[in-house]
Amino acid sequence: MNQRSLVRGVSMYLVWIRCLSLFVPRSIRVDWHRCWASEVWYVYRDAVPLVSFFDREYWQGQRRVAEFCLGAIDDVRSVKESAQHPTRVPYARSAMRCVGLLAFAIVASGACFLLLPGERTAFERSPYQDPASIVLIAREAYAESARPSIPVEQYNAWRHRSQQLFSAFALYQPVIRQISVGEWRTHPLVVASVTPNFFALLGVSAATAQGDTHIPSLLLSSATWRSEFDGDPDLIGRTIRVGNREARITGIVDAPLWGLPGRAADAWLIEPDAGASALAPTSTAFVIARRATTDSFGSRWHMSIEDRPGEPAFDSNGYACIALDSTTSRPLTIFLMTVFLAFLALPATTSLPLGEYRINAPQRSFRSRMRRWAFLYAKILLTLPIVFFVSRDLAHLASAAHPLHAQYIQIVSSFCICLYGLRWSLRDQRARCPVCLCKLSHPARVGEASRNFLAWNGTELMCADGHGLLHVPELPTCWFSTQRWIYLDASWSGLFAKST
Amino acid sequence: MAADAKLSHTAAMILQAIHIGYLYGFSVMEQTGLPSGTVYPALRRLERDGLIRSEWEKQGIADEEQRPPRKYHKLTRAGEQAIVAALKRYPLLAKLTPASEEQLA
Repeated sequence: MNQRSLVRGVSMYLVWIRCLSLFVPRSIRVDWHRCWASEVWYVYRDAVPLVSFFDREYWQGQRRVAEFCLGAIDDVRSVKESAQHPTRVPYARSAMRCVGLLAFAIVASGACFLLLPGERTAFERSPYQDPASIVLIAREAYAESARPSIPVEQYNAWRHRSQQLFSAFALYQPVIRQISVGEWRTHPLVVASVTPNFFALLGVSAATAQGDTHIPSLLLSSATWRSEFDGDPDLIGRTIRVGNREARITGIVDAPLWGLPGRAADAWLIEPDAGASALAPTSTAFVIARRATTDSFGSRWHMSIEDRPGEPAFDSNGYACIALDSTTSRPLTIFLMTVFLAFLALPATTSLPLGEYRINAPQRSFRSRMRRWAFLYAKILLTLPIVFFVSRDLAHLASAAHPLHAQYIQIVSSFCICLYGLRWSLRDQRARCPVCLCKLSHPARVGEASRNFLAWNGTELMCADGHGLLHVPELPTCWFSTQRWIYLDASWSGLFAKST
Repeated sequence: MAADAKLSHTAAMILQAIHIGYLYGFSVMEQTGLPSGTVYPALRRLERDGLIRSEWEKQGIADEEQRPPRKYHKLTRAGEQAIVAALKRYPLLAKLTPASEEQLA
């Protein structure tokens, strides 16, 4: 048969194959069509002899090619069926679903975490200039409490002393005050009264232009500006009432201040004088200072101050100086510590073996074994961010009630959730088939409780793909203390209807 | 699929045909007498289960001979183990293909 007549003769069948290929899933359509088109060519060449159109052999050959092409319908059906059921493991029990749920939990808890004001600072770069040299000074007994502890009069006494350790001091005192947000409307907001050098000490540029030096300036957070003043662009320069005082709005601060203890401020009231004389001398405030020396003192150190005549008495227990950048990394430190403790506590709460029955284990491929371990480690690793995010979310909720409780809530919740997560990872792994990682099903009670010490008594679970059985003893005995995985050999495969 | 899994008689026949050197779908059809609607889906399933692997002939070789390239199949190591087990299960399979005795020797 010459090439031209071959091409002409086979073209009709190629159209048929092309039409059928439209029913094949797109991912394999090109390969499927190429394969059948090629085979039709060879079938036609071998089946249809170069004889007359009216010859019987010619039509027998054509019939043979047509029968071959009709077989493509069965192939299309087979391809479509396998595409509709691509995996043997039902998704509801598969390892992918487990990993997907954990990933969803990370996204959900992470989104809550990022939406909470001030929480994301743990992952952000400090906006302050040289944050390592900025320290928070607090009375030793209040160092961990996130409460203001330094009386304003003590702050002023320090300020007037000649300093070797610190180059500058600043004070801030967050208080809830009624702010007039409209002509006849006031709203309680957290207003931090700060000394004029407060923003300069932090190294944050803030608009503090003052017209009348007797009227304090007020800086609003951008969130407050939008929520309370509807983002009014003409607000700058307006004088409003803050508590029983008047203040002039001089600017908007974009980001909340990073790492400062106490409640997040909605506005900052810049006192006209460095001594903050408008504040009650005995009222307490937070004091921050910038270190004059570059010597490393660590993240926290103790400081004692001797009393002098004519100055208010200082705390005999001394003062704690805490580096500001260490306060933001504290949640992460707490998290790592509780994870370590949870790993230590894990063996006391659940058994660590995964229930393998090695004596009966057939030789499985290295990849299959690694896949199982990778799944276990993936579960543990995916659990850790959930632990961090959820514990921080809970701590934040607790801090609204009492700032002191936030750390304790984080410690307790982080430890408990982490321990539970680790236990779940191991228990879930034990309840899965080591071959396909599918969750075991069809639990069946085997044996009798009265014969617990004489014969087998427990629960038997089965891999739906027929890879094996899991025997879980009802009561651990000296001869059957942990669950056992029994691999099924090839003779069982007929029961599971999976063979080709 | 593991090498120790059971093969149906049809699958074993196709595997045996490939094993003895009938590497193309059409030649497997001719050798086994099975219709195309059986052979090609089975080839796809055997490939999915890792018993055979397929490869396209180089385009240059086919162009020289003025014909389309063909897809040929080969047994994998698992396929070779499977056919040994299948021949024990279906002893007559060795007689169905002329070259079987030579291959198994």
